[in-house]
Amino acid sequence: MVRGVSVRVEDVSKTYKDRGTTTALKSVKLDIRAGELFSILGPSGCGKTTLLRIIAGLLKPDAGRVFFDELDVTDKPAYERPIGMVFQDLALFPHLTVYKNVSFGLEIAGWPKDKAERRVKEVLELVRLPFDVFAHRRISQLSGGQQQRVALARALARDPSVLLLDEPFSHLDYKIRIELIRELKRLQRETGVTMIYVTHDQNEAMMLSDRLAVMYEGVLQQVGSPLEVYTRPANEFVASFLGEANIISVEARGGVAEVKGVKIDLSLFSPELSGYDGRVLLFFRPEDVKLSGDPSRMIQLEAVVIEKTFLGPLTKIVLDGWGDVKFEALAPTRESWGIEVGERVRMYLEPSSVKIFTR
Amino acid sequence: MRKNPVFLIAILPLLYVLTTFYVPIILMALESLKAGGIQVYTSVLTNKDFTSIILYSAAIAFITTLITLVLAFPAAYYLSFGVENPQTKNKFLVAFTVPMLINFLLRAYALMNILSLVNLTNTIQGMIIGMVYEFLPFMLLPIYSTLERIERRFLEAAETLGAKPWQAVLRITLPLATPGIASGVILVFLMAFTEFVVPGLLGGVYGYTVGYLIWDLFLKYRNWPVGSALAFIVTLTSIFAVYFYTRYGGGND
Amino acid sequence: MIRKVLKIYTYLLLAFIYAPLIFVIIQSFNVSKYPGDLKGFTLRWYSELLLDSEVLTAALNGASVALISSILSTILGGLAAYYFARRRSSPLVDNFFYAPIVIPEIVESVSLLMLYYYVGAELGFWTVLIGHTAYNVSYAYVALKPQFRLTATNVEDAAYTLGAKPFDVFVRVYFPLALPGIISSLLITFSMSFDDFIKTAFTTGPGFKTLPLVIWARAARGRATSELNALATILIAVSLLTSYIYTRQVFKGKED
Repeated sequence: MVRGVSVRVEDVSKTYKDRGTTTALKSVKLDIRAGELFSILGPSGCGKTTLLRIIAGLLKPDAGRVFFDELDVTDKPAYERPIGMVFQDLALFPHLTVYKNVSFGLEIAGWPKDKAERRVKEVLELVRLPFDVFAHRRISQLSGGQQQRVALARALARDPSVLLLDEPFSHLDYKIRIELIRELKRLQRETGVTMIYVTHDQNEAMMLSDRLAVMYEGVLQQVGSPLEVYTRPANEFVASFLGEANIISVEARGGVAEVKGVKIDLSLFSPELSGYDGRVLLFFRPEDVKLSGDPSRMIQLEAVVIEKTFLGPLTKIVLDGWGDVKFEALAPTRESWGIEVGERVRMYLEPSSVKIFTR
Repeated sequence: MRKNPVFLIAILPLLYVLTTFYVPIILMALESLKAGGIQVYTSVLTNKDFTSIILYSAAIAFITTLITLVLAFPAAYYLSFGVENPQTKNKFLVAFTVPMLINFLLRAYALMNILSLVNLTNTIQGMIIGMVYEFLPFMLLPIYSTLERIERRFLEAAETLGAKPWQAVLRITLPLATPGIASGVILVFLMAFTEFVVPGLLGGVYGYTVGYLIWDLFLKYRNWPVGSALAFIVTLTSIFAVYFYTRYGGGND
Repeated sequence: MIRKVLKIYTYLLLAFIYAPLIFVIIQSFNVSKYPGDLKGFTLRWYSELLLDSEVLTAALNGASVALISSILSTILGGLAAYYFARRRSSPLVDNFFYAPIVIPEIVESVSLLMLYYYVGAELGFWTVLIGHTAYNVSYAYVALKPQFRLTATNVEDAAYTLGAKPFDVFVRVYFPLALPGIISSLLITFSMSFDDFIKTAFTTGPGFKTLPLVIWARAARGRATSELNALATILIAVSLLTSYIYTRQVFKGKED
């Protein structure tokens, strides 16, 4: 049963000053599907919270429109939108019990007492907080994780079409965070509500989302599934923000980049680059650097091992290759046993795992 | 969206305080200039009787401030460093603050009872005891709050560098506490300087301070220009004092 | 070791501060007129107070000014706190409201007198009331600011996202949370006004006396009387209570 609605953000711009810092959203366009778990990922100050607040109706955009299920809600304040929101600091009402917090939205909407009570029971069950134990507790008596669940329950009580979450788990312990993320995914599947999740933690975003958007300095960098964005980043920023990345800058002439005597034919990576003149960035992930391979179809790199760090199942190897250019490889530990620091080795790259960014 | 009407309402308190506090002070300054301009100030400052009263009040205020400082500091130090439990700290804080809000007159009157027992009413000593009594919490709180803000880690670091406890206090705690001490001193001096209730009740003949002079100038001699001039001088000193207070100490009530 | 010494010292200091107050309270019940000479318990002095018409009128005057002033200043101070505490407006606003508390009372009183003279106001009930309120607004602001700070965060937004309109938010979220602050503000401004001496002395007119003025007039030149002790005790007791509630409130807000 799909209960969520689609959210479309059209050319939204906003310049927003808050406590001395200015964020600017520049013509942001988003198409979020109904029932989707969508994350907005980016570093602090990139505008993701501002965007979320605009979708919520707590902030008015300077330009652009917001649509819920193709209905223009841009001029509607938050209390007229079918939303639920979980804030970074939870914002639970300190003077009310768990029950009263969760039923707040229902009371405002004028639900009869028995109907409200049934709903509160239902939703507390949904977040795995037994009614009899928790309903009449004060917020201050709950642990961080429990408060989090209450905040979720409160936002879901009104059966919203869109659930907005603003870095809700950032202040919690790692273990509880993982647990709650799993709960969130389960909730989303069970209720079918459209979830928009804002975070700066790429692991969270990749774990949770059906699709995500990477944002930087008020501009959307890329939108896609976690896998897409990870393996085919659209630009340098996305490449380095998600996961680890090797980014090497080279000068190309006539489609060929030359680094310390080694010629790399750029058309290997992308046919459009044959004959290209100018600076390009080579991007590949450490885990794609292989210790052995077929030189006839893979790119071969000769490099000197500078550092070797044991990380458990994987070993990180820092290499100096192509003269003064450092890059990292992440290889299975068993394979890297024989490699010594100071040794000159050959590493291999599948051309498909390399991306070229033109400046 | 919801900004405009609320702003209009918030203007009310601003206007009220403006008209009933700030404007009158300006009026007072103007009044002092009425009787012939700036000269009023020079005449006040050169008048021997006036200046001797001003100096007398300053001396009393100075002694009061000194004694209050000496008495308040150890207690503030104990509260900040000697008490571990934050709830106990809070209780002490409340205990010291509560009397502060009882009107000076009542406290001075209460003290008068005890002083009459030991025959100290209408004496300078009695007056000074009274002044110290009134202003003790005003000295204690700023010092306490500054001491609280000193990071304990500094003292720990000093310890790991070989400093004995008294050395740490001398070289770290005291210098860092200076802003609080300064603001307490300024605050108490200022209040003691203009005080007249306590001197009036407890000082008898010795209780003629600047405050009392202003009182008389207004309500007895009806010499408003001079009275305003004097009051304005006092205001200016307080403004400077407050400026230093908020800059170096303050941040609480 | 040193800690023990300091601890005893601090307690002694506290005793020093409270001793006179306790002494007066005890004295007011003392049969003997002479302090230090405990003869027995009596309520005589209090009953004499009730027969003193000057005292009763003064009490009534003081109470009516205090009541109105406390309500007015709490509303005004509350509005200011509501509006300014929620935005990091600036220390400038804070200083604007703190100034009356820090500036010596005599300066305020004198300047108020100027104001009244300029506008040709008749000195009496109203002039006293306006003067008290000016001062009390600052105390109300201080009492209520921490309250509104606590609710300044996303709690308000959360309520919006749950469908509450601005009016609902005020009634259901702000008001209940601000209630302790409102009560303590009312209490402190009442007692400040009721106990006030300097401002009242300067801004009052013929015939309008309050209790502190009565005490001052009668205790001139260092003579304490038993009747005055009883009067002082009542005022002190009320003051202690309101002050306690207010201080608890203000310090609770600082604990965050």
